[in-house]
Order: sequence, then structure tokens, then C-alpha cells
Amino acid sequence: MEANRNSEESKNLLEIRNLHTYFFTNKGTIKAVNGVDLEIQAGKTLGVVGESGSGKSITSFSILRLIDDPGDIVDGSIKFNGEELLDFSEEEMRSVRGNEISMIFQEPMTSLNPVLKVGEQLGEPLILHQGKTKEEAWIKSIELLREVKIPEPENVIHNYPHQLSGGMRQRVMIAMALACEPKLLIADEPTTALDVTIQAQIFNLMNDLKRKHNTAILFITHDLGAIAELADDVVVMYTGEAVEKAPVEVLFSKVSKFSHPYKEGLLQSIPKLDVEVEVLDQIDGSVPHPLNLPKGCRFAPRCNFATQKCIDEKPNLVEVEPNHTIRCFYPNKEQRDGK
Amino acid sequence: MENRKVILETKGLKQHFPTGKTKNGEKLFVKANDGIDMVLYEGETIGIVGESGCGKSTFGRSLLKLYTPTAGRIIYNGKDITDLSTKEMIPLRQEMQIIFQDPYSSLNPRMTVGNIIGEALVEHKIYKSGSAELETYVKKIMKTCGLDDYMIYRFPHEFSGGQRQRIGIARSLALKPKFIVCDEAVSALDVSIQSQVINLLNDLKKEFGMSYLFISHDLSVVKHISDRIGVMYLGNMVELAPKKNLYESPQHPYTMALLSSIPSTDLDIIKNRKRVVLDGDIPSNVTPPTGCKFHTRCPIAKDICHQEVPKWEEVTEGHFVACHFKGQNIV
Repeated sequence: MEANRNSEESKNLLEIRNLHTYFFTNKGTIKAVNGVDLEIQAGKTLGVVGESGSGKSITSFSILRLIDDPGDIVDGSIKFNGEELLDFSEEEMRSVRGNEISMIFQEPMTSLNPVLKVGEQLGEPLILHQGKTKEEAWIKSIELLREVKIPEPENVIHNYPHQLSGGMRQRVMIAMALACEPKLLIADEPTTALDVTIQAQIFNLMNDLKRKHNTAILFITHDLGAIAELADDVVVMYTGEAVEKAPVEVLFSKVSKFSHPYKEGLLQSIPKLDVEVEVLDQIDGSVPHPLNLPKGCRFAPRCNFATQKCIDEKPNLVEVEPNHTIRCFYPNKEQRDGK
Repeated sequence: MENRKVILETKGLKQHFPTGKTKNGEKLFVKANDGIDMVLYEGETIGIVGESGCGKSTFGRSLLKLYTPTAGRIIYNGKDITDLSTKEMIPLRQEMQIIFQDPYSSLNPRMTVGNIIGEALVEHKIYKSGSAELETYVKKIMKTCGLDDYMIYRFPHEFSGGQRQRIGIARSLALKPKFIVCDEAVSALDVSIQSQVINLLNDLKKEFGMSYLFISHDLSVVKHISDRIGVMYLGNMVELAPKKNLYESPQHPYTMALLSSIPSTDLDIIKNRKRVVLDGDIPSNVTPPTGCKFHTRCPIAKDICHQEVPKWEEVTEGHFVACHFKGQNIV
């Protein structure tokens, strides 16, 4: 039994257990990530979806150990390829960042260095991690640009970021992240700043790369539509906790009896193209302040189905059907509606 | 349709901005709006969609005369306002309002909510500054917009993004405008808050009979809120139609591509959809392509598209499109 579970776990490229990342501010402790478990296998995309303040970005920063003062990872384990990242020294971490795990940020304008040419910044990880010479890095950079489908890479490589459009910049970011052929790519809202037509191009590109290099992708977004397009498995986050976890076809299934009221509310509040409604369903209220979280279920004050139990007690993540876990006392949709 | 009262009309509206010179001393212009014809009826919402840089925000601002148009006419409520001076525009500002995209940068951080909402009321001499009537009215407007009236003395930083957007809406509504430009009014908000604000805008429209020009890049939101939808590309309107027509039988290849790129949460739709992914980026609007401006990215472009500008034609009632090969399937 034990051995069996070990072999099961060893398939996971990244495995996060019980992660707690807190920020110690003057006004109190903000529990940005409060006991999150996630796992990704090679060649799979894990989507993490949530609103602002749900802790999704802090989770990804924690993986790369990019949490600065007053923040700290206070508890938990982050195993990457079987090794505990939280035990790594700062130097060891540096050999992981941009090499085995790399990241695409939301803002392609502010995350590229404005005074370095595209070729210079693209080559940097190659020189640093793979010991390539400047000339070799330059040649490899052109290849990378071609791979992310940038037209005329021989010219673009001499450009500065401000000379490129938003979509092109995001491609350069992706090329940079892929330079050392990482095992894990963290994409934090990679298309939020882009137009739908450009977003479609980037999604196609990310899917191609996943297939070609068997890269695992941790895809962070607030957009449920983007999750449905790209992810294999999904984690829905709310106030620093996972509230629902399932494979994408289960999470968006029309026949599954189970769902978290928060996810259900999110789904209903997006206008649909094929259904005409007079008034959109809405989730009332707003995300609670991180220093003033409800003591029971975090979603209870905004939930239409909340009972006294929800206000007093905190629900755990429970497996309601195979591969589908929900943090709610009333995960069954039909029973909930009847109540 | 013709019996309805026209609240706003543009005829060949052009808005060019100077941007340096070529080596030969020739002046260059960003052609942000390059000849737009549109009619907005009373109580109607027209949605404007398009990629960044297509000129949709410029269009919204030109309508309010926040810029001086390069050419063309703007007719508001039967009156040509194109050549009115800033001073002459002031009384009209009461009726024409705008809600901005970013609720963080469009509210003065040093003014209380009450002052932000009340400022224009005092400026237009509807209420006296500091009067009890003003406070009562501001509180009433705040309630309409879903803000509790005890918040009147608070400052913007004490509010969440959704609440700030409501303050921006309350500020526009305080003057009982007839026409509001919503420039990406819900884009910066989280999904759960976005639907609250959309519902609020729709309720207010029903209550006060306003007309909206709703600018957004989100086609699902635009479909929900609009009566008619205009698609813009590189400074021109390429298609304008009642929303049902636009989503069910789009005529312009750009509209078709846009519609097929919308992410969906319905896995059946994703599986069965034939997605058209446009290559390349939106070209420069300083030196736009000749002929049909879309030909550089259009999957069905022919020779004629490189040479001739397509005409703006009505294909069925109220459905306008500018394309040489309108209605042709691009999948």
C-alpha cells in the first residue's frame, strides 16, 4: 500500500503539500496561501483559477521561492522532481529558476528589460545556465524566436522591447522562459493584457510547446474560459485556499451533481454567447479582507445556501466523487437547490 | 426603427493625431478614427468591440468632444456640436457623461466620495456646495448605485475595485445624463463583481432611459449588454448590426475571427468549434495598409482588397458591413 502510493506520487513532477505563505504586516498576519495542495505531472497543464486576492500568484511565487519580506513560507512542502525546494540554498534555487522552472509574467512590458535588446535578454539564461558563449546564445535565440512564431527573427533579435507589440513581447517572454527547456513552466495570467485574437495565438503556441517538449504548465488565471481551453486539471482558489479540484471535463461537466457554490456562481455570472438572459446571476458582496476573514466557511457570507453550520464551522476538502474534491458542507447541487 | 428618436449621430468622423515627420518633412498622423458613420437611438446601447489600438476609446471620447475632430460631423439631439467651443460644451456636459476603465486612477484620492459625486452638481449650479439638499441627493444616488450612504465621507482608497467603479458610475449618473460612454467600464473588475456592475448599468438604463456607448474588448459582455454592436478595426467601423445578426450571421471575416477566438466554458463548444486564428498583429495606423485595411491578416483577401477600399453597405435592415467578399465563409 505504502509502496504503491510512493510510485503514484513519484509520477508527479511538482507536488505541493500543505503550503502556507504568510505576510507579516503592521496590521496583522495576512494568510495569503493557507494550506494548498497541488500536483502536476509532466506534459500536463494545471489551471489555477481565482479572483484577485485568492492567493494564486503567491502560490506560484512560493514555488520559485520569490517571497520577499514581510512574507515568508511558514509551513508545507514543495517537491520538484522528488527534491524538496524549501530545503534548497539561495544558490541552488538560482540554478533552478529560469532553468528547470521558468515563469511567464502577466505584464510583458514591465517584465522585459527596456534597455537590453531582445537577443541580449534571451541569451542571458543560456549563458548563465548552459555555459554557452555569447555567439552560441545569439544563434540559439534566433531559433527560439522562430519557435514561438515571430516573423523575421533575424531582425527582431536586434530590437528593443518598446519596438514590439504586446503580443510579440509576450512571445519573447515565452521564448525566454523556454530557452533552457524547463520541465515546468509557470504562466501567471499570460494573456490577460492581450486581445482575444492574440490570446488565441498564444494558447495555440502554448499547447504546441507542451506537446513537443512534454513541458508541465502551471497556468494561473482569473478567466474560466481560458481554463476550459487550456487546462487538463483545475484548482479553484478562494481566499488562499483551494475550494474545488477536478479534471477539466469534470469541473465544467453539465451532468456532474457536485460543485462548489463559488465556482457555480462564477460560471453563472459570465455572460454566455449561446444563451440569452435578461439579468445576469451575480455573486453578491465582495472577497473578504484578508485580515478579517469569516471564521467558518470563507465563502459563507456571499453564499446563497449558507446555513448556521457554514458560519460556525470550517469545511474541509472532501472527495465527493473520484478525482473531484470540494470544500463545502453541501457539495451536491440538487440537494442544495432543494433546500 | 426610423420612428425612434436619434440621440447621437456621426457622419464621416475622423480623428487624426499629429506624430512627427518623415525624413522628407512630410507630416505624419495617427489615424485613430478614419471616417465613422453611426446613429445611436434614444434608450439604446451600442457596443463597440475591437482590438487595442483600433480607435474605440478615441471614438468614445470624440463623441464627447474631448478632442477636436479632424473632419466629419457629430450631431447630438438634433444639434451639430462639432464646432462648439469648450465653453459652449459646458451645458451639454451635464447630459453627456463618461465612465472610465480604471477605477483606481479616475477618482481624486484627496476628495471624499461625497465631494467626488457632488462636484459636478455644484459646478452646474444644481445644488449649493455644502447644502443639506446636496447631501441628501448624493446619498440617494449612492443608494441607487449600491453604495451605503454612510460611506459618503470616506476616501477612494477605503473602497474595493467594484465599489470604486460604482462611485465612478454614481458620479456620471448624478447629473441625470441622457448619454453615457462606458469605456471598458467593467474590464478591470473580477468576474463576480463584473456581473454586479453590468446588472446595475442595465437597471439604471431601464429606470432613466439612457443611451450607452459601451466600449469593451470582451465580446461576451458586449453581447449581453448591447442592442446593436459595432466592430472596429484600425480606425474604421467594419461591421455594425443588431446583436442577434452579428453573432448568428457575421458578414465580415474579422468579425468571424473575433467570434471564433472567444474562450468558452462549454467543453462541447470548444471541441466542435472551428477556430480561425488570425496571423500577425494589428498594423500601424500611421501608415495603414492600402485598400481594405484588414487585407494583411485576412484569410480570404484577393487582389481587389489590396487596391480598393470596400464600401460601407447595408446588407439587411440595420446590418452594415464594409467588405468586398462579405458573408463568405473563412473556416
